[in-house]
Amino acid sequence: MTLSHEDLVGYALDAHDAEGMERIRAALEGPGEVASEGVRGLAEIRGHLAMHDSLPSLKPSPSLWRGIESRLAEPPPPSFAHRWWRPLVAAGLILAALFAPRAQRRDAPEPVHGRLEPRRGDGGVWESRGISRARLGEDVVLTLDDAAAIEPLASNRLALRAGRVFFEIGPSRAGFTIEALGQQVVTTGTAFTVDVTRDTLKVVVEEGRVRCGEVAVGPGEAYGGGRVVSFGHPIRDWFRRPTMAARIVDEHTVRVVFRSEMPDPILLAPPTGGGPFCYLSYAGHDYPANPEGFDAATTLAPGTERSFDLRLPEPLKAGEALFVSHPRTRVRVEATR
Amino acid sequence: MAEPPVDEDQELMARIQSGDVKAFEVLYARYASPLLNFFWRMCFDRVASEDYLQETFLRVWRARASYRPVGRVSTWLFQIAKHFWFNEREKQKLRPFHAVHGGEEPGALLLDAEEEGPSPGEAAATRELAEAVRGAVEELSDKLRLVFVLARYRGLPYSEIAEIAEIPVGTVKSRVALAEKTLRERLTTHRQEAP
Repeated sequence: MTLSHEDLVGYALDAHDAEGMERIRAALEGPGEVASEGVRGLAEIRGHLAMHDSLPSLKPSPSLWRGIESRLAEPPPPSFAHRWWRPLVAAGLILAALFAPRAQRRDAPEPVHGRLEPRRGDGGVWESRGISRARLGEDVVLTLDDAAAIEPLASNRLALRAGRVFFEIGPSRAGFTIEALGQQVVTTGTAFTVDVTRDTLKVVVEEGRVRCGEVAVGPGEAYGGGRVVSFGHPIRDWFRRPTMAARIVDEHTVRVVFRSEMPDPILLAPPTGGGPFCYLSYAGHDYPANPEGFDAATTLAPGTERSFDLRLPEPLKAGEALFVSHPRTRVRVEATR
Repeated sequence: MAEPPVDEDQELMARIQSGDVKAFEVLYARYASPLLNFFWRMCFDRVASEDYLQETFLRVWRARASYRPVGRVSTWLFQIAKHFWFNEREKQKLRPFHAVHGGEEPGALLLDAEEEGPSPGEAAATRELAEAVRGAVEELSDKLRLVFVLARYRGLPYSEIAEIAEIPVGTVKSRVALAEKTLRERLTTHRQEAP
């Protein structure tokens, strides 16, 4: 008896019950060599199939039936009896794409905070002046860094041309895709930052899950250079950071001013765990410093500022530069007397 | 899972044809799991599979008047599911981007579906295996995947697969063989490359 590969495949597939196994045993009864060869081949095939079998089965969630039941009364979608509707629709779309004004083909972002303006000479690209926030249809909110540039391409697609943008995308916009530096970031309903500064794509996920090309990235993870790095906790990258300025009051005092350009309040808190609020660097030394009287957390409302005076351990000479470094925000500013 | 008696399914369909939602719920309870797992094996995307299952049953409801009790109800259901699957695939080819749901890591799905969590080492091995399996099956064409999934996971005889796929039995056999050959080559490569 000669067993073809197709025979063995058929046996392997049929061998899901006792009857199937009996048929296989009967088929393999033959000259010893042929039979053992057949058994080896069959075992090998079943081994490969077992790898596929190792995928588990899913159970329907209880909400699925409720979803079906709630839609039973819906009218059926319109049917198209004729075959030629597709070519007609396609031709119409092509004509519309060719002749409609460019800007009308795209969903324009709707600024809700700060300044987001069309780029001069290219109405398709929108640039942020300072930090801004905008809506892009239902369930898509963007927070753009200063000079970030976006170009809406279609209802569920957007290109990030420059800078950093924090995306908050609701479940109704699953599949929303961001194109950046020739790559695609696809979301299933989530909050994340996409950063293309310095010509490198970086994606930081705060909530939900996104797919960067073939790589899935989850909460507390960042993607860059084809790799995923886990932070072990949810992160919002840089977006809660205030701006900081410093001004010399006199030879013993420097005043730091925190200002929020963010559309959301920022929490300013005194240091915990023993570290200093900031460092003062001048005359070749780094001095830890804490603002006097700053012992409780305070909220910095959008568009407001808060200043703190810091006492200098040594007098600052005329013309000397001083640096204030705030380690939590990674901001460093210079002031000169 | 044991197949329900053919007569019972046809009685249910008769009630469904008269608008009996309770009967439709019974039919759903019988076939939701097989159809969900059919889609799951076809696309490896849990969210998409659940969507497809809902849409399939809505189509069953809307098409209830056209059902004729000449064959198994399950064959009719799988035919509707198959048509829906192929329509969706065609739509996806027309879209500029295919990853509507973004897909899911097969390893993550595997771990979610297990009742007891594996050890970290087992989880890593399972994840790797699931990735290999998914890659191998995704390499199959839609037509090969259809017959393979129906044969392997529904355990259907070739004659019933032929009815669902609407092709001759001989074509089913050759497609199953070709699917198996492709899977075998892919998984053999994976096994050799695995440490």
